[in-house]
Amino acid sequence: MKISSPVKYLVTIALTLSLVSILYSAAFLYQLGALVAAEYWIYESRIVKHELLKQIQDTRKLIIVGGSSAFFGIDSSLIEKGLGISTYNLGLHAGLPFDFILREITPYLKHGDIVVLHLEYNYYTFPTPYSVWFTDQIMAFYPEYFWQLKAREKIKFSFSVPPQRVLAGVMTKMMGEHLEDVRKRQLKSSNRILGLIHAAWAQKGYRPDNMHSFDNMYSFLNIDPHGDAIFGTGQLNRESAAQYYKIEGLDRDFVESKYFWEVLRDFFVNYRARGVDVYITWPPIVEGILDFNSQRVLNSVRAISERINEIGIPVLGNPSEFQYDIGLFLDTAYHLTSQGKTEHTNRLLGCFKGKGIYFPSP
Amino acid sequence: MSLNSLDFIFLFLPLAIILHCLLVKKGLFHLAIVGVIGASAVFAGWRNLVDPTLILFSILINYLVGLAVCSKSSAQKARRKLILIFGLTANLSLLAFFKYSKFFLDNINAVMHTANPLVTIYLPLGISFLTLQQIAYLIDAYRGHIKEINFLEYCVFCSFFPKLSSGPIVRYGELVPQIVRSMRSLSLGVLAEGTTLFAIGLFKKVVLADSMAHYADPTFHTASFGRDLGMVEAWGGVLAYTFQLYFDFSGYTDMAIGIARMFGITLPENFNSPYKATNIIEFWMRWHMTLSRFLRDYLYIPLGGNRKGVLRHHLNLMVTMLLCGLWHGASWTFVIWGALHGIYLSINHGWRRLGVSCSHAIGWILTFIALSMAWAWFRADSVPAAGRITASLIGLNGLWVDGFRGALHSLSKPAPEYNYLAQFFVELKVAVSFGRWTIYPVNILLSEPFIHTYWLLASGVIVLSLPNTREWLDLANQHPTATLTIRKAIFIGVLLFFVLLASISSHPSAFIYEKF
Repeated sequence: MKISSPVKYLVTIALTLSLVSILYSAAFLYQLGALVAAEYWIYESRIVKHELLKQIQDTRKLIIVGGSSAFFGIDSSLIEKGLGISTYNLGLHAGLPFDFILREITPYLKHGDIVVLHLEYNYYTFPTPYSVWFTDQIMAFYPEYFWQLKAREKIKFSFSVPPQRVLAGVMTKMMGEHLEDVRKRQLKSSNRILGLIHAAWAQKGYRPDNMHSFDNMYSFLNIDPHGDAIFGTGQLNRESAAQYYKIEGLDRDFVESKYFWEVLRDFFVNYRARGVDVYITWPPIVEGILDFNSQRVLNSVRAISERINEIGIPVLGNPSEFQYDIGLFLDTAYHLTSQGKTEHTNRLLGCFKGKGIYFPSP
Repeated sequence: MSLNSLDFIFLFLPLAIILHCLLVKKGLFHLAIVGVIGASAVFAGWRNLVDPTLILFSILINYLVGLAVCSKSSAQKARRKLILIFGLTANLSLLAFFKYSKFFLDNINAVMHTANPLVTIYLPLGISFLTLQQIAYLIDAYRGHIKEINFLEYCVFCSFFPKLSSGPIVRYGELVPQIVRSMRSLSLGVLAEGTTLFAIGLFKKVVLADSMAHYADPTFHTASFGRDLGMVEAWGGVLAYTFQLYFDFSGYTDMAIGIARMFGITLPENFNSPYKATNIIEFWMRWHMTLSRFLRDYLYIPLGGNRKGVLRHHLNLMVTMLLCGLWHGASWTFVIWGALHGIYLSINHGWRRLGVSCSHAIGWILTFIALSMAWAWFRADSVPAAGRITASLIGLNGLWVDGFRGALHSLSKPAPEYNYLAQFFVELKVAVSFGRWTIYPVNILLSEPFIHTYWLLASGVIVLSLPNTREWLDLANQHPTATLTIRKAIFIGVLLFFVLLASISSHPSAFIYEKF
């Protein structure tokens, strides 16, 4: 079993490494689309929101882009009435990477449109688009996204997936059809989703069933014809809120995300040239949790504002203007109750009007 | 640049080896030596230009002092001694300025209630190791152990990049004679050997040490924030650090020795399964062996060793270990760590004098517990934090900080990184029902405490029952390449695949000893 030549020895090492890596890559590719536990309501809600954009792609419009703080915190019909421009809410989930949420709207943008980036603070610090959460969602219900990526990005993506997740994917793919929970996750077709939502919207004063259920809160059937969430449930406590902001990045040493700023700059420069106005605003936060005079928060806010100013994007308001009583929050420190949503939207409208943004005839 | 960084592995190292091989193949030996020095300068200067400048300055001074000190004329002995003292003082002053000025001023300010400003907080690359090597070189030169000194070879001795930041601590006499010889022994055989050592070291660092850090760090952070830990949690964290430190440092050493082998140079071993030691004296013969050798030959023995009576022997041990602690870091925690080892060694020597035998098993258990408790001081950020962990280790804060109910709760949910996997088994209905209670065994088996335990057990098996790198590769064999078999090649390929997998979930982290 001895090898006389060190060349053979080195080649065997390289071959073994290559072979095992190829096997792992094959397992990775095989499990794409396995219905592992994920937030499938995002898959369904994306289809609904795309449908909304399709319907109004030739109309001049204002689109709110962001995570769930926009989804639960913006009343688009109030903005539409206040500004006189068709308004749609594309907010869904703050775990979706920035380039991903921009890619959702860019095919529908035209000259004269307005994009308002209503971004959670984590967006400013995300080092990479491929978080463990995001790769899980993509592999479960949107593998086409992976295949659309360039080779370099595909490698980055696959290097962001923990091996345990690949193993879970392989096992689910192999045995999933025998598991009731996995079978329940079978993806609905676009037609079925759109049929269900149109039927819901056709009902006068439509409200989803059981408005105390989180399952119904995070569902495509909780979207109104403007893209806003119809209802929310839950009650936030101060400890969770404080913890949330620490994780989100505002109340810790600010670490700049090169990825985020590059995507933002490209988007702004390209779409301004095409006659699309872009604004940035701030998400709602719980009053009295963040000390806006503390050095850390000041540094974070200053760093973000300076970078936005460098790019030249107009900003609506400042972070401390969007603080609300904790009673106006639902299950997380970004999700507002309907009363909170109205208050937040009114403050945002005030900022728009302060910038002279108003369209007399919609 | 760290030995486990992508820049180093995929860019710097291949280029340095190819350049060296080309120059050697063309017979340009002097140029090849200059090439190694140049590569080392680039390695040192990757972070900034201060480090190579400082190293060059230090090399120049020491080279000149060495020349003056190794003069053969016995008539000038007093003058040579004076120059030696100057050289030693210069080296220690440089180390003191960069490494200890902050510690010194902090303590002065604390005691005198003053506010003297800091001189510097910059720690040049490998300064602790370079200082020891150059001190050994000057003393060897003074003692007449070094016959002639060539400047280029001296530069390689000091700056050879694999050992620059964290050793092994090499003597002039064991490295320099190899430099020319290495050019003739350069072959694919040494490249294969070097690659094997490098891969094993990389595996130890990326897969084992960094995984253990995931369990050790939270324990020490908790103590730093002033929060107490239960006995089980404290031991979990301290044992994780005990293994992390070994895998990290011995991994670095394997990588350094492997890279040097690729250049045809053999660096001395630094570890010989230290946790198999059944007493502290044996531990120091197996752990950081080149440091132990330095301390023995240039400190302990000159102090008188065990030749000046029992009391002086114990005093010498204590002084040596206190300085050993201080060398590791400018902090009271390191001093106390050194003092603990001084006490351990004194007890061990005292026990030997008594002539009472002790079984290997009991000796091993006592040694391992004592070592682990001392590592808590080595790792802790402050004396209060170390005190808090020690209190927890001896059970003063109960078994679990959140009580038994809290411990059960942490067993009931899978660790976040295994959530998807556990979920699959829940959906597979792998469950045990007790009346109205349903238990999901996989959630328990993949919970944080269980995963932590698996890592500790695996580390224990690797450290205690498997051969170490040297034994596995049979490096004592006259022709080690003859032991490179297909099985070993496949094993190394698989280890490298695990490195690749582990690098998915973690970013390259610095080696612990690079901070010293």
